[in-house]
Amino acid sequence: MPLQLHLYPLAIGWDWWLPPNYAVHGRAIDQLFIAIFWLTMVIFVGVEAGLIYFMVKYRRRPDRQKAIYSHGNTRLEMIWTIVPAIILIYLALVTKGVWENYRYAPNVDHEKAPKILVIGQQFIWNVVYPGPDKKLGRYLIYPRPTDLKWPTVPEGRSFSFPTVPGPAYLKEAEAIRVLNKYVDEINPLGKDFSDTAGKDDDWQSALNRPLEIPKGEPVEINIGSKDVIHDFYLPNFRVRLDAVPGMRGVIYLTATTSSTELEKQSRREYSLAEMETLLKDPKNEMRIAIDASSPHAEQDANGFLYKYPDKSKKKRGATIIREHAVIPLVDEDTGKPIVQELREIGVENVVAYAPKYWDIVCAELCGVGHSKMKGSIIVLERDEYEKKYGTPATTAAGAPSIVAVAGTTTQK
Amino acid sequence: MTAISHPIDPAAGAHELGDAHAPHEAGFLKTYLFSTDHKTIGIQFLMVGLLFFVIGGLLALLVRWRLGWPEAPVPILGAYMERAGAWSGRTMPDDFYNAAFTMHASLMIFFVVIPILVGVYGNYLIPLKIGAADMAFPFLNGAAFWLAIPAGAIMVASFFLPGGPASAGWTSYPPLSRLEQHAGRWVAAEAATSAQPPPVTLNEKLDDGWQRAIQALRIQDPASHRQGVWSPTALVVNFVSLFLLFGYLCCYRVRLGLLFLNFAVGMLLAGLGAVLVLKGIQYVAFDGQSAWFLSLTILGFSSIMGAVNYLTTITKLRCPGMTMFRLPLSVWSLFITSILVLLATPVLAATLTMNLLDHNGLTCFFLATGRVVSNQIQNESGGGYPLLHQHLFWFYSHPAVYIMILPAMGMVSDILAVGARKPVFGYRPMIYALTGIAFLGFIVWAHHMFQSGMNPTLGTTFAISTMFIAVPSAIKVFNWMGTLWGGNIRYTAAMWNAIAFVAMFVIGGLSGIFMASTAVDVHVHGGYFIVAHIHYVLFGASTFGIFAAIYFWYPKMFGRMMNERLGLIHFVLSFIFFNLTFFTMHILGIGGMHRRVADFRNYATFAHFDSMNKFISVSAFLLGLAQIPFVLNFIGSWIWGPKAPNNPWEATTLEWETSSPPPHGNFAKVPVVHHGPYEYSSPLVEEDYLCQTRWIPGVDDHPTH
Repeated sequence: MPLQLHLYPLAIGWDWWLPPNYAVHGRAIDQLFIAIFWLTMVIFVGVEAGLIYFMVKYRRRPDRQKAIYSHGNTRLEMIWTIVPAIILIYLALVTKGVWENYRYAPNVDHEKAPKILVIGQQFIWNVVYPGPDKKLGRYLIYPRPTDLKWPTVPEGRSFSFPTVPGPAYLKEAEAIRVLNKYVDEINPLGKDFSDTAGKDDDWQSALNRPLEIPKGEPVEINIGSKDVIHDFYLPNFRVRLDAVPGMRGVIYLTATTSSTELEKQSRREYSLAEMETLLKDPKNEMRIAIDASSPHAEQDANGFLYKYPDKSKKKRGATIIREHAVIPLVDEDTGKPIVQELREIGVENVVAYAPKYWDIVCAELCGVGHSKMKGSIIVLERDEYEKKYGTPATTAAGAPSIVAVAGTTTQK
Repeated sequence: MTAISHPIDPAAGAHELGDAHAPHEAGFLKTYLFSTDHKTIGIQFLMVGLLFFVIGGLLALLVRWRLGWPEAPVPILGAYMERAGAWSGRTMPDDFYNAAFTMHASLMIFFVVIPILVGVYGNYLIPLKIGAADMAFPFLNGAAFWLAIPAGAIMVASFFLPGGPASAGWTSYPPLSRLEQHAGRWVAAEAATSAQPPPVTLNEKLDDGWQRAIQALRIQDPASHRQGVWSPTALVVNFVSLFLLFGYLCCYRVRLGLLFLNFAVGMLLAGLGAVLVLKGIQYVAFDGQSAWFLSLTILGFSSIMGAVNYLTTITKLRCPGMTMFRLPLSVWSLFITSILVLLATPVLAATLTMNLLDHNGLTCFFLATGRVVSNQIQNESGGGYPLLHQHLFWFYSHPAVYIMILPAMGMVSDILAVGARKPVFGYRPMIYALTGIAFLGFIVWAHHMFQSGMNPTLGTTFAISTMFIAVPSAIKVFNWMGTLWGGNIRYTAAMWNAIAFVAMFVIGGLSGIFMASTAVDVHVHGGYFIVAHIHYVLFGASTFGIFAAIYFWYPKMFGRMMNERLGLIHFVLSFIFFNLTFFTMHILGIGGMHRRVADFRNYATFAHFDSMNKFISVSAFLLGLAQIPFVLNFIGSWIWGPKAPNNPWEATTLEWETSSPPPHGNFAKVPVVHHGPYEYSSPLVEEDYLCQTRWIPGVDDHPTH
């Protein structure tokens, strides 16, 4: 069996248009965009053409002594006031419908829609699922040094000082230190453990995991933030809402295509020669997603990679290509073309496909690591989603696996 | 106030201004440095504005360098920063990138476009065009300029503060602006090299790079930031600027009789004042972000002082016969702009003051309860509302967008009429459109916040008002076209730039409709589409308007003609590379690429924009190079340019009636106006222009005063 490489050429040729849309409400937004595009295009071409025509026609010429002496034409001006006004009012009315359908989702049963909580923090997206009871608990409630009681703790964890009833009885600096420890190690999302609705929430591995939603079903995505304003932007789903600390945003989203379907639709085989031509074209940036089940795939701290089977061949590390990295035309270490190296380890064909996930973009400046704040959204089949997030968790409760994350810029 | 002895009542008739100003012969200081003459102040504003234009432009090029070639060492600056220890290598770190675009926008908006349009042309043109000898409050006018200098100095000094300048964007949204003072000391370089995009497989752990970055953050000492450590460069720049401000005040307010005594006491007081105020500034502006807040608050005071002056001057000091509806549109636009400044800037001052207090950890106006940064609880009372800042900020900054375009609109109307040798098409509708834009400009601010989480229905309200503001803008565009129609167009450098203003404003206006639609804004908000839009309005329109105004009034300001050929070269190159740079950005925006992001290549959705970004960067560098002919022309013409006649463009308005440059007091005699401002190709006279002051027997026997 020839070794199969999965890679996706990100852009074959120039893509000058809207990114593909996979959300139900997105169609109306795109149509409105296209309508405004053509409307403005017509006005643009008309006005600029008129301007150029006047510039040429009425240039200074020796045979003409004077310009036309005119102070204006009221009727003409009425026309070009009223016509744009009517067009713009119409546009505003159309916009209102599309906008309210997107923001208020009047056709969605708000009670029944699966709920997911997305919490932004510098520079990561946390994703909390409600568990089998389909109810989210209370989050983003953090203790303060002036509290009279200690914050709640999950079952099986202890966090109390028997002699002191609450942080307010400690010195301020000490209280802050203790509470920081609590937030950092026990409760980074500010969960209220006394809330019964949140008992079975899937929150412990919330950190930086992909957002997974079911296909064809309206999902209620709640958006919050721990520290600064982030912006939850899904370019491929026409969703954007700021994650504001102290506020909770709500977005309803129905995905039209599952990630597996996307992969299947876009799957295509390339021979190595074809791949080489693609690589040679500087417009194509190839990246690679390596199948974890592949026998040759190795995992290191930064993800999967392919290596030379025979490590003695090279001195400076034997990595050929790394997952998600841009594939260069030539291997920097050996100076040999990548395609040749792949051929040497037995690759004949490669299968290229679009990534299995779409980006979650933070589109509001949130600090130094802003451009690294990238999440991913994966669309599962409905039953797949139900199985994964709708049934009681198989992992034993206990020490949360959340790694304390930190933001970044600062804190001082 | 040393109000000038000019007839407040225009009906008072002709009055010998020359006499009133003869004893005004002042010493060297009062003539050249601390002048209260509106023309000198205008030119001083122009010099400062152009200086900041250069700085802001270079910052933009740095931004483009990072976006085009993130791995490439930055020329010159990279070596310097590496040697200074600010960067770990010669490539630009993310924090510097954030600071670069923040300061680019802040400088260009607050220290280039507004000062040049309002400060320079408000000062220079208003008295000349309305036939006044000077501003209503010349001393206040000078004070407005000298107050703007410390504001600029604090902004410049922030580059040399620990942690670098502000880097929370020119909007400085809290809570980010509360936090980011130490952005410059983040271990960005380390994290940037080791952080990988999240893998396809569920990978819950963070990689080593992140962990190390986090550790480095933890060890910061929260008490260290109040040191107020200012570098010598920052101190010197600020001391000089404050010394000049106090020097100006002392120059006019210390009157002890003896010249030497005046000078000595003035110097002493100025030095003392500068030292004391500098101490205070050092305490308040302990980092880049607080310096940013403080600088703009001070600049706001300067703007308000200017606006009061312009409004008083236009309402009270018009010469006989100069009715409101005989004012040139440039004066009208400055009049309406001044109203905007007067009503909006106090709100900005309030916002910035609240932000400054928040930033100093004293209040929580904009900070919500229970924030946790880097898993460290914030020991603050909370209870604030982050969106309140946005409402207040945009309540100023949306009118500010019109502050940055209305004066250019007015001046371009003047220049188009002169160039086309035709009256402005629909003079009164133009004024009504200006007023309409100004009024609507106050009720559209929240269209910057459609996606901010505010009530969606409120979004619809603001979408409708925003759609409406396109109507007066459309009226203006069509009227400018109407002005060109049937003209006898003389193409000068000024005229080319003015026409470019119209052409580019059309693009900027039309792209605004996309953002005005709340639904479409979901996709194009906060991305390169808005970057393209703002640059079409502020560069394509305002800056080409500024170029037009400089080419047009240079002969009057400096008494020399500019070189038309160099002007044409400058225009053509700027126009081409401007469009290559910014039109392409629309495509990035439609593709969804978001702005203020150093590494768009991280995102699979945008990685294919690599080559397009390189193209934009090259175009931007060429746009920067295209300004060289302008600099040569500006400086060269001052030295070698041919002497300018009084009325080189054969224009009708009052400033062309006096000598180039006009003397102190502007007019030998108070002019008396008989006509509207745009009597070109009038059938009443043989020439194709009829000056406002020209009296035609039989027609103007009963001049309306």
